[in-house]
Amino acid sequence: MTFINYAAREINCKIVYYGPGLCGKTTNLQWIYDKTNPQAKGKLISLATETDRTLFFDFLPLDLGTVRGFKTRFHLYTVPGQVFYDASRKLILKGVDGVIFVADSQEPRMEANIESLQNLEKNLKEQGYDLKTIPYALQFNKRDLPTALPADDMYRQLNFKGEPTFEAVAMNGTGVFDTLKAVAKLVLTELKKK
Amino acid sequence: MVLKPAPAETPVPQAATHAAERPFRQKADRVAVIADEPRPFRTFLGDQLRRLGFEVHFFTLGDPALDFARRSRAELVIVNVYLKGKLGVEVSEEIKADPSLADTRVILIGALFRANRFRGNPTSLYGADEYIEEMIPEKELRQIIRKLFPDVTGTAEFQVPEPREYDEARRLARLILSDIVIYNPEKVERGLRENNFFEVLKEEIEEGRAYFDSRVSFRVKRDTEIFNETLQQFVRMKREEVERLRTGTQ
Repeated sequence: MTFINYAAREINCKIVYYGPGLCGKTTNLQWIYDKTNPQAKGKLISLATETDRTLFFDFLPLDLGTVRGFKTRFHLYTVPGQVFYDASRKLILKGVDGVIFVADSQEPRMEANIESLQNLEKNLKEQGYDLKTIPYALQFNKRDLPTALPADDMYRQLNFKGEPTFEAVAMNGTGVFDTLKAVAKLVLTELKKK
Repeated sequence: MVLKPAPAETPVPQAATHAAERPFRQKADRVAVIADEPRPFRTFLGDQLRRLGFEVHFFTLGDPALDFARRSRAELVIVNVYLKGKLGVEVSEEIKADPSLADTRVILIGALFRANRFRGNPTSLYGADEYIEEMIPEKELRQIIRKLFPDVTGTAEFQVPEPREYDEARRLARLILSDIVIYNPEKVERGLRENNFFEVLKEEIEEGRAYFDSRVSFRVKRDTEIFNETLQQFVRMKREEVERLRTGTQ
């Protein structure tokens, strides 16, 4: 749910990084934060409870243009990936405008990827969204690992609706901004339709 | 699959208004009563019998088991020799002395199993038709059941499909384990190396188990040990891997 700040002439959009535990959601976010112009970003905030952790920050990308004269400010969130923390994930999805699903390329985590994707679809539905229509991008992270599954296999199992899909190594930034830009564009396209 | 004991006993039904009415009995199934202490072996038996088309009811005490067997005209009673209260051997004798249970077959479960000790077959079965011990292989158990119920032969290979929820529970258990492993690699390694996996990861396992229990159905919780089994399988697999590496075998 986009929030419009008329005083600042900004449209605020929420993008959530989703995926199984330790797939690299935080690494994506950290990379983006580190590489973003300090003037264009807010603080990186970690909401840590006793058991789980959520990161978020907002930033104002300068190269994505405006929507009817309004600049767009993106708020990026990660969710706790461990299967236990479903309640936190549901909460973080509230008001989401776009989702990036980060999949772990390691073969032993494939089942966790699938579960997390199904969980995303279910939790979106509970919030009144539909994965089929929401701006959405898929990222295969950890492509540098020797145990990484072939990208084609992952695509067959995880690509949901022909969404833009990227191979990434979030540790060194490969694919990180490409994925974010893809979903940001989809979010802006949706905004322009409204 | 190792099954876990049922915490709740099958309630003994009240006398029906009409003798012919037994609402708790499904016509398609044979009724089996298992009277044994709650333990994985008891649920292993239950699982095997269900696969052979039996409707299974668990008891820990002899009297309610006997009462239920009489009311339901159970075709099979499997009873531990040393039950609390009424002994299994007494249950067996009473069944065999009851003309209304003439068609009921009784299998006694030996109280002890020590594979590495000398043992002899029991001299008396107290009227029971068969005698088994814990750790009986599935195949051998099926042979005994087939012997007692020849018409089971045709259906013995027929596997009653496991409920879908069991598969889902297994998947959930694997996911929880996978999370535990990926978030605690050092503890996992230490637990495997020092052979104390369950102690080292006690907290994580308990957290995982609580979540598992909160997500699975009552039936899965009551009838299975899927969570424990998944952990044990993992430890076993890892140990075998280490052993293969150590000995250089494939």
